[in-house]
Amino acid sequence: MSIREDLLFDFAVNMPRILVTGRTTVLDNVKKLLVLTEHEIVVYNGQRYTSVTGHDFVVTRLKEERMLISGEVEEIRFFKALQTD
Amino acid sequence: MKWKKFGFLKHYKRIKVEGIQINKVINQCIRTGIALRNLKWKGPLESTMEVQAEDYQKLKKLAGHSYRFTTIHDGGVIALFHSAKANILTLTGTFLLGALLFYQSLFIAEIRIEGYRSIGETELRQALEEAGVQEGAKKRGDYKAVKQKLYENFDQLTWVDISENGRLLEVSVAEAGRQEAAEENGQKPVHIVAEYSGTIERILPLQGNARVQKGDYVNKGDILISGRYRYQSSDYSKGDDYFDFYSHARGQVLAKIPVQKCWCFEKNTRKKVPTGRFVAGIYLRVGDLELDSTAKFANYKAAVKTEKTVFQVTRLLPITLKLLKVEEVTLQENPLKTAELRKVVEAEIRAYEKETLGKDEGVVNYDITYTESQGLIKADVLMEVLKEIGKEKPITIKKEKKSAKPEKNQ
Repeated sequence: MSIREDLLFDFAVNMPRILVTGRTTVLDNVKKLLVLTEHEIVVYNGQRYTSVTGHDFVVTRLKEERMLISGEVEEIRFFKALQTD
Repeated sequence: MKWKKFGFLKHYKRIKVEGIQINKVINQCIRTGIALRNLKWKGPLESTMEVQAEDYQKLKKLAGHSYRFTTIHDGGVIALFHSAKANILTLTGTFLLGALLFYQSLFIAEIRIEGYRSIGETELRQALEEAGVQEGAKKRGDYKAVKQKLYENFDQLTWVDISENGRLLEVSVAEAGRQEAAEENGQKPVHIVAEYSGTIERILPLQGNARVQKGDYVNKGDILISGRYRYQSSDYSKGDDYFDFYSHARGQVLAKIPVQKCWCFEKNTRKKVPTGRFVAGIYLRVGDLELDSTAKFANYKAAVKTEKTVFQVTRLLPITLKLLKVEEVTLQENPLKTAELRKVVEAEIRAYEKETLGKDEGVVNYDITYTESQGLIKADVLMEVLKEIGKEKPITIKKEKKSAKPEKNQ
């Protein structure tokens, strides 16, 4: 990564940033929680929305815009705007 | 705020939140920086989560009256202390039990001795007790002095190991094997020689040739039963020369030997006469703690203390309860009479006979001479003692040499 990309990655505070390792998921820049169930979590990151689907979800920690999720992740989706039914 | 980072460790609450759109409550937390933990979705109208105790009221205030908060569990160090405070009696009991278990583990409950053969277990236990190691005594960890004591008391010990196994003290010993030595000696050629000078009273050779007979006077070192035979060969390969055959001589030789003993006695005998005054009390020992109720009250110049053990246990904790009686006495001195003196000397002779002499041995005759000095009476006793005087002496075997004629066996 170039310096520009590095800076963008570190300082893009309104963009989704997600790290998945096994059953643990780290979701950064969480501005707002929209949906929270056992199978789905949808959050707003400021400019984008992030949807994580799977099962056995438990939010093990929610602090300083960082959300740690424990559970099996099946799908991650990013939206620009919320979908309308 | 210093403790903020220890918030959950310090005190947290697991709460149940009930209401419509619980997301709003969570979003309030995100906005205001309230940390949440273990957030679980239970249903559209219910969720559980953990929040720091100091943020709980703030959270309730932010949520308003639209939501119901129920505390399910209190956790963290403070909650643990509160719980401990509520169960103080249980905790104290547990602590006391733990302390008791620990305290009783400092004492020896059982001593197991292994490896002894010729030494009796009672003797070993006696020696251990003299060294301060017995059931109910405090564990030491270092038993060097005890080992030293055992080595001093029993010459035949070659190795002693003392190890603690919980409250069990395992004493392992190894002996040089007097028995082994004796077995080994049983194969060695030996003579039976006189240990003392005296007149032979009885000789019973079990193996070997008797060299003396009843009535003979022998000096110390004389051969009594010989372990050497001289025989003439009937083997063709050796010819008809005389050869020596050696054996382990065995037998009993009793002889009358003179023994001189001297005992000294005080001219006056002391007698304890009770005055009739006494103090009764108890002695209680629990672990290391001792209580003697007579110690302060019985301040007599001379006293006789009698005690009776009522209760004594070494497990779970060494506890001893004794009844004590301290009687005041006065000491009276009476001059020793001749008849009494003779009785005392005869008792000493009997004690000597019992302690020193064996089964077939004994004092045959004795003569007592008294001499008086200042404060003392000296009794010189010349005794005629029937004593086993046979002692094994190994034979040094020289290279076998044949001779043409028979020799006197030696």
